Amino acid sequence: MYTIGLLLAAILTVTSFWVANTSAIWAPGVPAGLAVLAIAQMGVHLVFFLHIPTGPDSTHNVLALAFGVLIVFLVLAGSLVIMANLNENMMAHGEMMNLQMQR
Amino acid sequence: MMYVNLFWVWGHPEVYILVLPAFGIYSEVSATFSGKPLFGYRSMVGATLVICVLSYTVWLHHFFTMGASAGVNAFFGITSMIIGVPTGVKVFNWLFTMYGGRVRFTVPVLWTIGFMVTFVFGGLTGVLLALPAVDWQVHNSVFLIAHFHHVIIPGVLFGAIAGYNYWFPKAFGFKLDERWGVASFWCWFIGFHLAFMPLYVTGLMGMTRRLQHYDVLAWQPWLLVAEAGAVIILAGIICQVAQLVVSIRHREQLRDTTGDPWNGRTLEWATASPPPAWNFAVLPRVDELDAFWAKKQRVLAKQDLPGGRHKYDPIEVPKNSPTGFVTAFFAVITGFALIWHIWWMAGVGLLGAAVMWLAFMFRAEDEVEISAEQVGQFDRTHSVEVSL
Amino acid sequence: MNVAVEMDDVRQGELLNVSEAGPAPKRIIAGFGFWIFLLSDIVMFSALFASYAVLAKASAGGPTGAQLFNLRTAAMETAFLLLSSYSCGLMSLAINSRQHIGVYFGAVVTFLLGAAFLNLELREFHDMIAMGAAPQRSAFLSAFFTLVGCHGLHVAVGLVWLVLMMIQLSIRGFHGVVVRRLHCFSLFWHALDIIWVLIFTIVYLMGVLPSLIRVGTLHRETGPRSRSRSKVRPPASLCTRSVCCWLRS
Repeated sequence: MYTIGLLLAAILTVTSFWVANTSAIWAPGVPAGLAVLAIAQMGVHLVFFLHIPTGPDSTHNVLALAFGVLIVFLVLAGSLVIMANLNENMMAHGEMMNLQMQR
Repeated sequence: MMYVNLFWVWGHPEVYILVLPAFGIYSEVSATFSGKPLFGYRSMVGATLVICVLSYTVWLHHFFTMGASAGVNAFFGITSMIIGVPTGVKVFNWLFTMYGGRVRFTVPVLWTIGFMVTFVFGGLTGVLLALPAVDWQVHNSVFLIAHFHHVIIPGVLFGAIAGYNYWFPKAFGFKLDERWGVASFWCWFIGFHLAFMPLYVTGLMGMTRRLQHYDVLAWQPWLLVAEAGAVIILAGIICQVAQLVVSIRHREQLRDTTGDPWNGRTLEWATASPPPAWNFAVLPRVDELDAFWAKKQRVLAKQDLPGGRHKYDPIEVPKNSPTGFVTAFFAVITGFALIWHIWWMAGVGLLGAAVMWLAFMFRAEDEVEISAEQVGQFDRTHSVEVSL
Repeated sequence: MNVAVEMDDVRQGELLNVSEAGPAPKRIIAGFGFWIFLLSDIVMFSALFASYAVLAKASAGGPTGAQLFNLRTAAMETAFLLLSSYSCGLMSLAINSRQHIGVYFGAVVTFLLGAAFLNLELREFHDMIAMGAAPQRSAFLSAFFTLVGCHGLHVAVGLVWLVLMMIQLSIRGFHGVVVRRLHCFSLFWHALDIIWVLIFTIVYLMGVLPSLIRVGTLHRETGPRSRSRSKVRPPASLCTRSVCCWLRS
């Protein structure tokens, strides 16, 4: 069980490093690819090391995990969207310099 | 702004963390004193779950004015309005619980009704504020102050006081004085409205929050009313202190001898007041909600014996430890020291917490076994008389 | 997979109704409670990740991720943690079979690998600070040190906990409490490895990519040189080049 998990995780890790360094993959797709690999590896950890879906009393653990994932997603996505939005509405750098020079 | 963003990601769920336990108290109190089961139990649970999830989708309404675009503001405005719906479901359930029941107007029920009347209006002002356009006008004015006090005080505080009055006999073995309780409720209720309703008016007149002084004459009559309200609330608090003092002094007259002072519906009233460390001598058999009430009905119908000969087994209970309290004490010291960069104090705090933790980790026994004889003896001398 | 894991299970078929079953076995309760704590810890980390993601480009004219991150070190750190998770798993198996030797061996290997990870990370931090890339230098660096440092702090606490657990094991043997606590430790340790997967992906791997792909982060730099700096970073961010720069500095 653990050995399979280790091998899978190792493969995913090496793949991530390769993806980050190679020019074989279309450049804008690289972060997405890395994200997918990271999520896959998290899944491997959860299943093979933590026995989350298969251990005793797994229903409660899976539900708690699902809720946790939801919160994490909301915090991350929400923060990124909001901060990007706020940033866009900030005065451009050039205009700010103009203001300062208007003496 | 990232700090503000993260703060409110926590801060909004926090107010729901505050209010949901109070909602639970209201459910218990309204069911018990109406003599009816809680109306719509499943929809109550569903509404609570919906609130749990939705409360993580509204936080930007705390900073509508901080420069997000209209699209982002609109999204959070919509979610903030939606979150009023499950709470409305709960309010209707409490109303339907009381409807058709024989309501006993005890002190906890007074606080519950006070909550229902007041909280709904506070929530409505929240829906007003959920509109970004409206919020832009009143952000950081006392209109906002009036709103959140209008929900937190009836929601959380009244609930806490209702629960305090309701469970005090169970915890300490004697009831709280009824008359001082009623007096404190009315002082709080009237005082709260006098103190905060004028703030809606002055908020719309432009009064901002956190003022050290003001020089707008038009606000003065309203603020004088608010001050009177504050004094009346103070009287309410004094009544609560008096209630406690008087109750302790008259505790023998107010003693709860049966364990079930309110003719309750739920299992905590099937124990002695105060309950022993192991709560129940024999694990009760539970087949339905309001299990204690069901048992009482069976006794009434002569289908069951009140109490009866039990076979007692020894019971394992956790061993008491001051670890939680002591660690929290050291955590406070550490937190304070880290804020002010008092490094030696932070070290002391961490060390104290660590030592306490080690002592707890290495204690020889984690549980204490209560012998069957002790359980049986307590049970026989403190049998709960089922209120019939 | 593991027969011994079934030891604490309640056999559902024999029960008449839920109230007669009594509370769940302590191991399940302890595991679930600790799992909830771990989820709350992960939510805290998500806040730190969000801060890092927002601030990753705010280098204030100072050193950027591409210039600082040494992917070979990151790869070694990843290998150490992954292998330590594996040895922790072997330790769990030994606990289930109640074999003292296996447990101690697994614990020692886990500890050494975890300590090696920490050693690499501390040296990385030290070198960064020595060349001027301190947490106070820029928002990006503050976010980096907080996120990665917090993870490292968790690893350090975990190592202390592991040592204490081995002491407990030697004193009390495989007492129920000790087994439950070791189970909680292994949950903790595996969760730390999961967080590290995210760290090395988001911080190290994405940190050395060309910048035009980043989404939703501050793409305006503060500081006097920002007007002359173009938004697209030159491809000197590839692994080998930055290793050379690193080794030379």
